[in-house]
Amino acid sequence: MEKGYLSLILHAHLPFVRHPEYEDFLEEKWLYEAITETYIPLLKVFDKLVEDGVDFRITMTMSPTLLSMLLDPLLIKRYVRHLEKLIGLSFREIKHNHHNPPFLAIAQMYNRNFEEILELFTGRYRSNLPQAFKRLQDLGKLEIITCAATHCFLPLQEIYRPAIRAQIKTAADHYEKIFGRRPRGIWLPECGFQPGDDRILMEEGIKFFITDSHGVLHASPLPKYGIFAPIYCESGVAAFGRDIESSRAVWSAEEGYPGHPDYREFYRGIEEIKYCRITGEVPLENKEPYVREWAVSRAAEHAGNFMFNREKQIEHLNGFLGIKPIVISPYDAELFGHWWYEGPEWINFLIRKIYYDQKTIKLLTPFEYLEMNPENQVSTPSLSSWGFKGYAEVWLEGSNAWIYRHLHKAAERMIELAKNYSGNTRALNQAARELMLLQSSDWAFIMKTGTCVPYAVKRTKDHLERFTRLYEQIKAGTVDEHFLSDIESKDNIFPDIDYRVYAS
Amino acid sequence: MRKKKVAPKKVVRKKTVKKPVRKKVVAKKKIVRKKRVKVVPVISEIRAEESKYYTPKAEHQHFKEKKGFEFPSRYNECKIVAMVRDPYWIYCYWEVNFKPEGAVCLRINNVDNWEYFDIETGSADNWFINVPHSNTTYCIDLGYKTADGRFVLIARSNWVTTPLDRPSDVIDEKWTIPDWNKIYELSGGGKYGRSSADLSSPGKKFRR
Repeated sequence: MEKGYLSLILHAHLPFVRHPEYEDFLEEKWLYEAITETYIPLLKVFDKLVEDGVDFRITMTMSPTLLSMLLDPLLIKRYVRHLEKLIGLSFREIKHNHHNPPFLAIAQMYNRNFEEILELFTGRYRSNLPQAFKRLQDLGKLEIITCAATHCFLPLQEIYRPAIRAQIKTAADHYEKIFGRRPRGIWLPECGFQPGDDRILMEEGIKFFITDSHGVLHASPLPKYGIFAPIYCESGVAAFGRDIESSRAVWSAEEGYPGHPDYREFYRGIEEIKYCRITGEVPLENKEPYVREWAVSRAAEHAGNFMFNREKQIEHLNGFLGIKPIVISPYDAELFGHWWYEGPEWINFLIRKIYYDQKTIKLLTPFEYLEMNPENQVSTPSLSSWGFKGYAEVWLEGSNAWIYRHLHKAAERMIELAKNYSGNTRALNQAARELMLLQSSDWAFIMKTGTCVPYAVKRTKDHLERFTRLYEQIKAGTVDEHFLSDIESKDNIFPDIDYRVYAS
Repeated sequence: MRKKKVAPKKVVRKKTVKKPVRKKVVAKKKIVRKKRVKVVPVISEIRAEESKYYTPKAEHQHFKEKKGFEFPSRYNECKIVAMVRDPYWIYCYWEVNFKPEGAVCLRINNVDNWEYFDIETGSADNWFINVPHSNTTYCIDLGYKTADGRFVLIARSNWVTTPLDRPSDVIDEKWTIPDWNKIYELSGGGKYGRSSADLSSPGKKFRR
């Protein structure tokens, strides 16, 4: 009999990036790379586990923006084009490295890999990855949870609660249309929780969410089991707190597994073809060639280590707490494969080891835990996020604080429109789309990290401009049809959006 | 399936003593929005969570920007909005659509006891305010000071509550805790906010 539970949670999200007005757009590659390196490799791992009869449970967010892009015909077409180009590149790389055996082997590995991905994408998955994930959910192996519609960091929108409701309701409706039922859980963007938001979740039928550790540890009254059991908010929605110990093992740049010298180096390479292993603390040009066998056996070893540590942790907690604890281990899904190339292998080994090699821990979803343990303490989690320093600072600091004046004004105006105007439903719905795209927390995050700031500023500006023009036109009663059609074709997210959600 | 909820029966409050609100301005930081955005993608500083937004060639703007729309510098209103950054910092931005007859000033009110302190803000239109208490509700009055020192209100902000920066003092009798310190430690307590970016000190427990 197991002594406790491990809940692996993968948060898959990318902001909505789609530029039909350009033939090629650099930031659209975020999606293509994540499909090739993360989403399809994860699907491959999960499908093979099912095929081999290995039981497992994984909880996975698929953010509404990501789902929308994965289902978009233009982006699907462009992805296939991108992959075909990559295959062409890999052939050229094979030729180029003909007399360089270690590099030749690596180029061949990528070539085989890309060919397989293309075949899977267009063949088995029929260019519809959400359906492939849905199948795993329907088999009971995967619990797909939702996210705020455009990954809006909710605590910073607190003054306009209808805007928060719109983010949640639009997401839940979108989820239902794709997966055939309401979402049971939600990944609050960046784990950003503000007491009271749980009521909105409850109204949409959502049963649980994840907070960072201190969201639960600083809950009031004091939570009896710390982060090792969920707490119920007053609304009845459960909050699960993130486990620090297991997070660190994977996330940490210094001591985490992904920094091991045998694993593939993220930076040096051409497109998705990267030849080196991390090697150690050496300059990029001195990195050594990647050796696939070493990396895979290292991933197996690290999976064993992770499992061993969780067994010890759970055994100890079980003895001390007198309950079967649940350890919540959430990660960005894109960490596995995109950043940590061997990450999907690590998950594969971990699941198999847990299934075959031990009896102390069992993989479980938060929802299953609640079904088995419906009695939990009532306590209010504190305002928190999983960002640097634990609160809102990442999204509210010198580089990005200036955006909120505009974001709030747009939300205020959207509420005004929804309450006072009807008639031009198309324009009103498009205004709601523009507002939501404006609210993506990704833009503020990018402004802070400084990786591609002009793009984040452009997106903030574009959506504010489009929203403001629509607002003025709707109020004046003269909507420019040409303009409306143009932005409808560009920002085509959430075809079934209903602006009236802002009037509630 | 219906959940059985267990409501807290009796709430024991341990400490209620509060320190008086400091009247002086503790710290301040002003942001000026830069017109031209600097891009500094130092490769070695990009971390796991940022890697999904990483495109090697995106360091420079690669798209055309049409001219025309600029972020409005004002919306022609008198308004102040407050937002919580963390247990001890509140951010606010404001706008005044007339010329006040004195220096613009923020009055930070603790709405639990209506103690307050003032900050003179010069020509700024936003401010990070260091507040003395976590788990406390504040609202901020935007106003100006007349020559004889009176505070004239222009607008009042929304109320915001800073979060608790430590475990709660409230204990639920039905869920009494034999050894909270141990549970806190096992839960990684005191190390909150350790995201991927700053997991610096390795935990020794459970490590091989």
